Amino acid sequence: MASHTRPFRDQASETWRLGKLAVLLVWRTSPKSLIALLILVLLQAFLPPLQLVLLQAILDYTAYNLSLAPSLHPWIAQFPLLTWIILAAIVILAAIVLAASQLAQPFIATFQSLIGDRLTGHVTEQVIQAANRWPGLMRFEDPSFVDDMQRARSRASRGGLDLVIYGSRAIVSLITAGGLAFLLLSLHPLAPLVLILATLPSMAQQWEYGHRTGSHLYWQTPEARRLEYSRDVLLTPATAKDVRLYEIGSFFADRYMTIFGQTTGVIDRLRRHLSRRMALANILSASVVALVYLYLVSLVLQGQRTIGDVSLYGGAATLLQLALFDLGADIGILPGVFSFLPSLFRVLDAPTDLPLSRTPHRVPRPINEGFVFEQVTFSYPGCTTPVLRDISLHIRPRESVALVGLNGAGKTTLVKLLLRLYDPTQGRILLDGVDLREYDLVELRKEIGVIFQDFVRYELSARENIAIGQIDALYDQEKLQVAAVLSGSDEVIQQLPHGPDTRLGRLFGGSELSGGQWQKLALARAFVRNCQLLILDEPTSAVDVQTEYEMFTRFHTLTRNRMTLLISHRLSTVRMADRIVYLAGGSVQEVGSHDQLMKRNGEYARLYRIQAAQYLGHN
Amino acid sequence: MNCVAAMSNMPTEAMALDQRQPGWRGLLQDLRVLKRGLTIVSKATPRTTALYVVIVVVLSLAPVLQVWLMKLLIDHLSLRAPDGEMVTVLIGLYVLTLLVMAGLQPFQQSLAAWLEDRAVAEVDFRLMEAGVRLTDLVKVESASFQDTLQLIREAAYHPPRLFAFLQQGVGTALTLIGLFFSLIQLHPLLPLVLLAVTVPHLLAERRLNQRKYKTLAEQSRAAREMEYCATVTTDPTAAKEVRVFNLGGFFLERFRTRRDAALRQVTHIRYATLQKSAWFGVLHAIALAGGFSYVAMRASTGSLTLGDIALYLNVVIQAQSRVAILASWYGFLYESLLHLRGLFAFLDRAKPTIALPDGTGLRAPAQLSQGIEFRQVSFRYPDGNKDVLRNLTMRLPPGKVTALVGANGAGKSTLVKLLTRMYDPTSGQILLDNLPLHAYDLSSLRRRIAVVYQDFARFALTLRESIAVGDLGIDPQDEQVERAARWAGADSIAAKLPAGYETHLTRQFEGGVDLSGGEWQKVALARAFVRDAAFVILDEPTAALDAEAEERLFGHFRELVRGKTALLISHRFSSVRMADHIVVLEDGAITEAGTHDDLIARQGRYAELFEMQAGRYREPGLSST
Repeated sequence: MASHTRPFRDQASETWRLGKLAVLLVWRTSPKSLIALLILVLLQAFLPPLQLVLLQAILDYTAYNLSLAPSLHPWIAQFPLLTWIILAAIVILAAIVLAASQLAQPFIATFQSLIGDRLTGHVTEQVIQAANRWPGLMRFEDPSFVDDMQRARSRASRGGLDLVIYGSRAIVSLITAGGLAFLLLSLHPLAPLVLILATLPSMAQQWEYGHRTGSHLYWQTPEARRLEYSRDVLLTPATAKDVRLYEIGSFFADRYMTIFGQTTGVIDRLRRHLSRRMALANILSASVVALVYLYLVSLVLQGQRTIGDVSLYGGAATLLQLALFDLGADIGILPGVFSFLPSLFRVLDAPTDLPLSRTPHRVPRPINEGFVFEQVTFSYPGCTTPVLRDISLHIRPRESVALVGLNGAGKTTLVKLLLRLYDPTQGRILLDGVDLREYDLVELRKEIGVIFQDFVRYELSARENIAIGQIDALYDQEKLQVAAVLSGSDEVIQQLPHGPDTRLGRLFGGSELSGGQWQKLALARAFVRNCQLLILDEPTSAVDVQTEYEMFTRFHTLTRNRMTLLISHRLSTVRMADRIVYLAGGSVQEVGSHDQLMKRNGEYARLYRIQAAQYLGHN
Repeated sequence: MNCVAAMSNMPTEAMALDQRQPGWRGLLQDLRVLKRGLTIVSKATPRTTALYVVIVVVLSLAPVLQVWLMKLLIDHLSLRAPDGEMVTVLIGLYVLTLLVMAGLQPFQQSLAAWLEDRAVAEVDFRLMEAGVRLTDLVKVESASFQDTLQLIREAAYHPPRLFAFLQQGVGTALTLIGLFFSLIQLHPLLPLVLLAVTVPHLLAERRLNQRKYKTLAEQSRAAREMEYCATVTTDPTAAKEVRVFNLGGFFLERFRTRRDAALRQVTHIRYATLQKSAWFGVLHAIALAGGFSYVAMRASTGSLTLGDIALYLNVVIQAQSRVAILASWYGFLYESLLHLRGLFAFLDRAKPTIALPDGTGLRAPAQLSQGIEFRQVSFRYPDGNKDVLRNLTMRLPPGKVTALVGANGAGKSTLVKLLTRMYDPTSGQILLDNLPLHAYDLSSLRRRIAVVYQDFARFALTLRESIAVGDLGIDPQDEQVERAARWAGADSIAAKLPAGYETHLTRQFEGGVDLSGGEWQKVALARAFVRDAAFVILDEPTAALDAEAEERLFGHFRELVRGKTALLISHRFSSVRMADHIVVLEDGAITEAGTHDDLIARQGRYAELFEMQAGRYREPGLSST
């Protein structure tokens, strides 16, 4: 909580800046609704002063008619009927104003909600479009940026509406206060000033209270998240088994209590302290309002003011005070409401993360020389230690290359560079002699197909899940059918309740598939794609022996005569490749066919023998 | 309420939270839920709650008093010869009400906040208690539970709202009633007429809200689809695929179509609601004007004082804003009660399903003497449609390592769940040292079993804590933790972490570090080894480890499990070879059992599967049989 106390001036200027951006955002989303809302809000803001004036008029004219008070305007006394007419007119006007107040609120609420709905949809769409603008992976692997995206997305729904509601409330408070202050001028030129000055301490306290103890919804503090984590650990399936087996439920419950005790203790003390100060400031302000009443009453007793004036000015003073309180509180809350905006704008303004060529080369069809890594070194942004060092490698057409190495040797990183999800820090990667950066990125990626180890299981239909491999082929029945047969997915699909249109995944109540069945669908994606380079990243690590064995034959069909890059732990799979590249510590240690490397008797040979021995015994 | 946001959090068709009964029954249900929600906190902090209620009542009735004092004041001021003393008293009292309201209001605010915090904590405690009560997984892993869970998390934020409702809803209602009844002396019927117009308005608002939420619930699927499209394109998990397969445009289009449809629906609902509200508003205004004319008429005949006119007008003005507040808070209350009903249903249903011994069960032994036996065990998941295990009979000899092989989905992981009594068999018995599992005290039984699951948990704790929770009886600083880490190979992880064993794991919280799959596996192994278990189960323990690490683990695995009974599940036949006893599970039943050499000689299924894996390691020209 302490991190949120900043000097008022900084806060105010930041809030002002964000407020302007927020208004622009809303304007872009639904200009008509915004204008309607502003008009309604203005109307609503002027109603209280208007009501007060009418009340005064009614009281004074009635008093006159009942001969309780002298006439206000001498010439009216000559036309008694006129006063009755005026009174009737005022009464009708008052009724209309009351009706307007009654109707204003639902209209305002409706327009606020309409804007809120559209804002959410608009903001989400903008975030998706921003994400689509980044062809590389850099932003997704940058923790602070991912935080920004999370915040922008999670707050976009509530934040949009809150913006509109609190924003309009602040405007109403401001305008109403202005109107009331104007009214008070006719009591005494200094009256509004004195009242405002007397209410400033209260406003400051309201601001401080709202800003320092702000609603939990906005702050999403680390403490709050830790509490949620402790609570959820017992109920989420991911941790459910371990928690029950090791009986650590009580451990987390204790942890919750500790964190809760610490954080609320601090906040409680703060709140009590601020409340005391606010009460004193409020009493000061209320005393000045009381003084206004006393002043008015004494004037009435002296005959210098009418009874209607008591109602008018007394009411104005009270309402002005309340409006200023609300304004103070809203100003305190607004920073919280706006808090997600900087994250949102950082996301929306983030430029592309990979340089794209203005005059892109056409991707060669067919590829003649293949892919060449020319002394490529790479470190992740923000890291000093390179993950890949001085890699030189050649992948030729119609050749299968296997990439092996211990965990963390850099195999996945190499794949990311090949797909141009990152650019090398030093050196370059060439395709048919031309740097990858010169090619049109979308066209380039079309020529490469991948089955990742952690391939995504989309919450879409089975048909769509296969078409992911080549999304333009979504309506090409034949192509999808062929791919399904070659991958073995057709057997899986036949067993589904609605065939290929069956929704898969839990999220929308679809059918669940086993790991092996999903693997077949992922394989189908590769079959659908007309790519010239195929990358298989640990394609069978998750499946059982039988399935792996079956898939092996299908892999053979898939990779026959195609440029392939295969990554696998299982050296038995790898030995079928034309060439094997052994990576260690980010650089290429050994290259050659299985037989060549065995003869060489290096690291690869050693690892191979270890694995083989596990099966065949030490012969 | 933001419709679009609200839509994605609404109950789906699949989740029938306690169905709301229509009419009077429904109202009673609501009141009961409301009472329970409020009692949760008031029981925990009775004095503060009482103080809060008192302040709310005082602040709600103060405006009524003010309006009345103003009437008296005006009446006295309009006399030909106003009584100075009386006027002073009245104005003095009026000033007093101003000061009291001003002074009490901040305390109402901070007390409300205090109670809201406590409400969240109390609900969380109950949720945690519910979690602890659910000692088995029968409910937790069911499909409906998953659906409910997200809702429950949302629902946990609603009890605090109840306190705001106390003030905004009940307090406002109190003021309103007070205001209306101060009109009694003008004419006894006046308050009833006004109430007669206001109450239907409120009830109609409530019905409108009910209909609105029902329609929104139907729309919630569309909202979740939108949400999904947004998540796929903006979440890091799918980022590389989205780029490689160029799916950005596809999902954007999908998002747009659904969003446009959703917006159309929602806008329609909103305008329809507005129309109805507007009609009621007009009706209300007409009634007010009617009352007003009545007052004006009587005033013109002199039978009402000036103060009475002021009274009526003030009441009307003050009442108006409060009716609006009340109407909107009814909407909020409805939504809150909906969530709370689900929350309470969840809490009430959170009871264990497996059979627990009456009184204390037996203590589980420190070492098994007879081993573990499955006798004709069949099992089917509660929402499954076929048996996962069929009449399974199997022995796990004491003090030996038994390996279990079989295809995915054959029931291996289910077996583990039955052994740890996360579920009970549908029929048949599991015996430990010749006694059925349910004869043992559950806690004692589980303490004697150490498991490394295939999908083990990655806790957001420090490295030391992640390991130490394996045995809550020991001090986390104990040497045992580091010893277990060494055995599992996790000490190398500690060596390269910035704060060693005190480093926080997972990136969930600031300053945390993420580990690779293989490193996580070592942590899970260390956690299992910390325990002084009689029975060790490893489910695919080396899936993420490379050849060297796997070799190292099995190198001292046998030493680690010496004297203990061990069950090893793996589809890497390299690890399976080392077991004393191998069991083959197929289609929910045991088909073969024996040592590696026995099973190879038998040339059955095991031999077939082994050859599939091992065959590829053979040098061409050197094939075995």
